[in-house]
Amino acid sequence: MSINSASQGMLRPAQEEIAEGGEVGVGLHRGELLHDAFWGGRLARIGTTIIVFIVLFCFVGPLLYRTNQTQPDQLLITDPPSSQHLLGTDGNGFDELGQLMIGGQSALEIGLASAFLASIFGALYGAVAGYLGGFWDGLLMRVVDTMLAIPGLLLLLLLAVIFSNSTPTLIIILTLFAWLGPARLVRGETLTLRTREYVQAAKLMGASSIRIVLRHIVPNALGTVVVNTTFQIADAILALAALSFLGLGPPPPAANWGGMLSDGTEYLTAGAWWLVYPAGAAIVITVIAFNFLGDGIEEALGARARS
Amino acid sequence: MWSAVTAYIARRFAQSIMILLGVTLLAFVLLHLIPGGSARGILGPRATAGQIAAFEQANDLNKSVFRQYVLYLDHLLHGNFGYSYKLNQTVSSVFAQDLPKSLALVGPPTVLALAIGALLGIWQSQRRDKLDDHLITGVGYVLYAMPDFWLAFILIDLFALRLFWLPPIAPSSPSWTAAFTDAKAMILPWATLTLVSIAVFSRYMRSSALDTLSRDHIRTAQAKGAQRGRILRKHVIRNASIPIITLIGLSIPGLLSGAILEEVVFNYPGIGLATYNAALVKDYPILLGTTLVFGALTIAGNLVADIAYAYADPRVRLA
Repeated sequence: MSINSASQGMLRPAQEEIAEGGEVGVGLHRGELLHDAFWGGRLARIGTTIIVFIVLFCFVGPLLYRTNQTQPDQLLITDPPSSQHLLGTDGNGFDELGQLMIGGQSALEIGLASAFLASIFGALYGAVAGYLGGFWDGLLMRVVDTMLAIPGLLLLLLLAVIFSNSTPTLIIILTLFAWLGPARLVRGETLTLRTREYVQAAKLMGASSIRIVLRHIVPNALGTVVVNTTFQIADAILALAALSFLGLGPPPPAANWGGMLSDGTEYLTAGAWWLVYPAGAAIVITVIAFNFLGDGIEEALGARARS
Repeated sequence: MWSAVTAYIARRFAQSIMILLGVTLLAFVLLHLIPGGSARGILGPRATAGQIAAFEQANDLNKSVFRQYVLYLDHLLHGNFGYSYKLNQTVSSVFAQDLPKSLALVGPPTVLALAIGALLGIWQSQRRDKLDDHLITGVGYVLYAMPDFWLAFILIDLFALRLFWLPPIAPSSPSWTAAFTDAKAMILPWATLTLVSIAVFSRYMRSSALDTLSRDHIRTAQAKGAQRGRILRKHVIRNASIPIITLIGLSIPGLLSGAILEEVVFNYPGIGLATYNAALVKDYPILLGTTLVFGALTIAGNLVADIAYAYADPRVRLA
């Protein structure tokens, strides 16, 4: 995509200050940083706008667009879009637009939760592996390599079959699959960070390994982690959709976009396009928005977070 | 120089063996994580305590965990991947039957996507920041963000249900040759997998070609008056195709994941559909067998990619 470097130039000096200063000063540039990250570049602006719109659509939408989503209605099964049901009704007689709003809630909640958990755990894991080095690094990273050797969807499938599929377990399953990326990224970053003077200085001053990892290494790898988290959210939403399609998503009656798609495909031969296209489009738009935001933050921070 | 290559390959080989061992350990651990124990998981909820005890006795499940793992490895080395009680078939016979069919599903799209993706990437590098470059990148973004199975349903809706040009399901013959004898029914599955992969390949190829174009030797060639076609052929394509070697190896897990979804959508009886059916009825021996086979394929793909890369780019070996 096009390069928009207006914000990058502004931010570079601050970045270097952080690198020289060692412990990251919080508060000073925070407002500026947040502004640049979410509103600096064109991509970030598009991404942020779409995400805000989607969040409003999913969480405020149901308050404004009131529909029956609890009592199945035999007389309303797969009605085409009309003035009363803007996107028609589904196989249970529920309003499809209303389902889309509710379904987005679980997609966003599960996606965000698992991406954050995966980033936190992965970053700490990678930082510890990179900082310890030698034998422990080898051992810890072979664990990551092993899990990466199993195709993602298969790993998800296995975990979802073994553990029952409630919303909390789904978050954990998606986390178990998603922490590998951040672990690798942060480990790579740590290998260069740990040779820096301020880490050496902290070590000489007698700082413990835990303190060095938490106060010096993780904060300086934060840019990479934040950018990666946005990509993780997008990936988690896609993974959740795939799992739901395979029948291993959140259990009914909770609606979610992947499950709606999967149900809708059964009515495709009957020509019920409104059960297949809107839900898929919602997933694509959300995933693209988070990818845009990630690319935007990446530009703003000058961080490299795509593997 | 030869010894450097050999040493590198030996090191990577040893690493791969370790990771493969890790995958067996993971499969073994998962088998023991099954709620209620693996005997209960395999025999089902209605098995009596006596049946479970007999099964544990017969399958060494009452031995120590370490001893069980050694026995498990021993079985694997002898080609014994376990027995599916749900299908009444050995796991290896299921694989022998279904794996060729999955390869017939993912093989042609991979080759096609590589060719098209590489051409698109090089085209984009020549038309950088022009309208068509942005257009291709945009379409790639959308394809990348699309759930694979949704793309499949769009194509089915359009070409099978509305235009009646192509059948909506893949051939369900037990023979893998059906993919080629009944190729018309394979067009939609192949097209879906190709489109999904092109998005990744062209993006990779574009940045690789742009990277090569900014190198000094290209500028030298331009300064010497070499023509654009010659520079592309002699310098850019050759250098930029190095990452393609890696990509083939690294795209294996994604392709296998895609195969699971496509086989479910198109009802194509390969290893992906077998895995999906196994997941529905909790047929653990099949699921763990797939984990091992897919893991081994991924590891082999990475190894081959690294070895090929080492021959193509001598700098890798020094790292």
